Amino acid sequence: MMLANAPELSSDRLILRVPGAADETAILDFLRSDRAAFYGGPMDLGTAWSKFAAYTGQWLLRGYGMFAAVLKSTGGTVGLVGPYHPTHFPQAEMSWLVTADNEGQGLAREACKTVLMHLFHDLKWNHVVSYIDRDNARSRVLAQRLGAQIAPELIAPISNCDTFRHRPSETT
Amino acid sequence: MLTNAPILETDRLILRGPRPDDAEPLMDFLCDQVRAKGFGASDNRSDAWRWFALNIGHWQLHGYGYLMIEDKASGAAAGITGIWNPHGWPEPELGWVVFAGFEGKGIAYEAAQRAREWAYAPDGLGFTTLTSNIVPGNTRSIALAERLGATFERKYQNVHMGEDLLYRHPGPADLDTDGSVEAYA
Repeated sequence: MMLANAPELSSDRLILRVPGAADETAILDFLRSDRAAFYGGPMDLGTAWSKFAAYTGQWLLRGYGMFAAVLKSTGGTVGLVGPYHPTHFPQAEMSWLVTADNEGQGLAREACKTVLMHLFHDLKWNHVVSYIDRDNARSRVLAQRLGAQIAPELIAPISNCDTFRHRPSETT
Repeated sequence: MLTNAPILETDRLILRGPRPDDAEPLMDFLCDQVRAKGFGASDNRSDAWRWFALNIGHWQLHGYGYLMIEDKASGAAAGITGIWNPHGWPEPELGWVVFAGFEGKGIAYEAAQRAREWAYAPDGLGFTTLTSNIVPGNTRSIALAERLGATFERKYQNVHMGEDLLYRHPGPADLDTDGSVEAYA
C-alpha cells in the first residue's frame, strides 16, 4: 500500500481497501461504458484514467475516500464504494459504482453497509448523504434498502438528483 | 503519507511527496491563467483541487508522479517537478513548474536535475530514457530543457495541449554522477 494509514475493511464476501493499479481495468471499463451515465460518462480512456486517479488521490487530501471492493474468492474488483468529496460538494457523498459482471448478487449492498458502518462507528460520522439521480432507479432502490431517506431540505449539488440521508440508527 | 515517494535533497531544495497543505499554493498556481498556460491551467479551484488529487492517484497507480519542491530557507512550496505519465501520454516525461516568487533563481534547473537523477537511479525508478513535453513558444521551458541536455526530437499531438514538442533527455550513461551534463555541453 502506498497511502499510509488507510483502513482495510472486510465483509462476508469482500475486502474493501484503497484503490490501486489492480483495479484499473475494471474501473476504467465501467467509466467507459453506458453504465457510467450517472457518473459523468461514458468517457474516453484518458478521462476515465484521470477520474479514477482523482478518486484514489482523494484519500491523501481528505483522509477518507472510495474503497475498491474486491471479491475474497477471486480477487476480482467489484467496484468502488465510499465517501466521494470533491471541493464543489458541501459534504462527503456516500457513492458507489458496481461493474456489470458483479450485479444482482447483493454485493453493492454488502459493500455499502460495511463502509457505512465504518463511517458511523470508526470515524464517528453522525450521517452521510448520497446524491442520486431521479432516473437512477437501481441506486435509489439500493439507498432505500440501506435505510436512507430523502432529505428534501438538503439541495443536491448535482442537477436532477435527490439527497438521500443515511443515519446510523436507520442503516440496514 | 505517500509511503513510496522519496525525499530528495539539493543545496537549496527538498523534493518530497505531496501533502494536503500543499493544496493552496498549488491551486494558486494552476488557476493563474498566465503562469500555468504552458502546463495546463485549471478553470477554477475545484478543477485545480481535482488535478492535485489526480497527481496523488498517479503516485498510487504508477509509483511516481510530481514531487513538491520545497525551499529549504523558507519551508515554502516553490513548485513541482517529477515524472508524469497519465493515459494518453507518449511516454514518461520529466516536468517542472516554479511558483510565483521563485523564478529566476535556477530552482527549476536544480530540482529537475535532481528528479531526473532519481528517475534514472537503479534504486530510484530505474528509467533508461526520459522526455519533456513542451508547448510551442514556451521559450523558458525550452531553454531549461536544453540546459538539462535535452534535444528536440519531434512534434506530436498531446491529448490536452494540442501540438506539442517532445524533447529527449540524455540517458543515464550520458550524465555525470551528479546528474549534470555540463561536462558534455
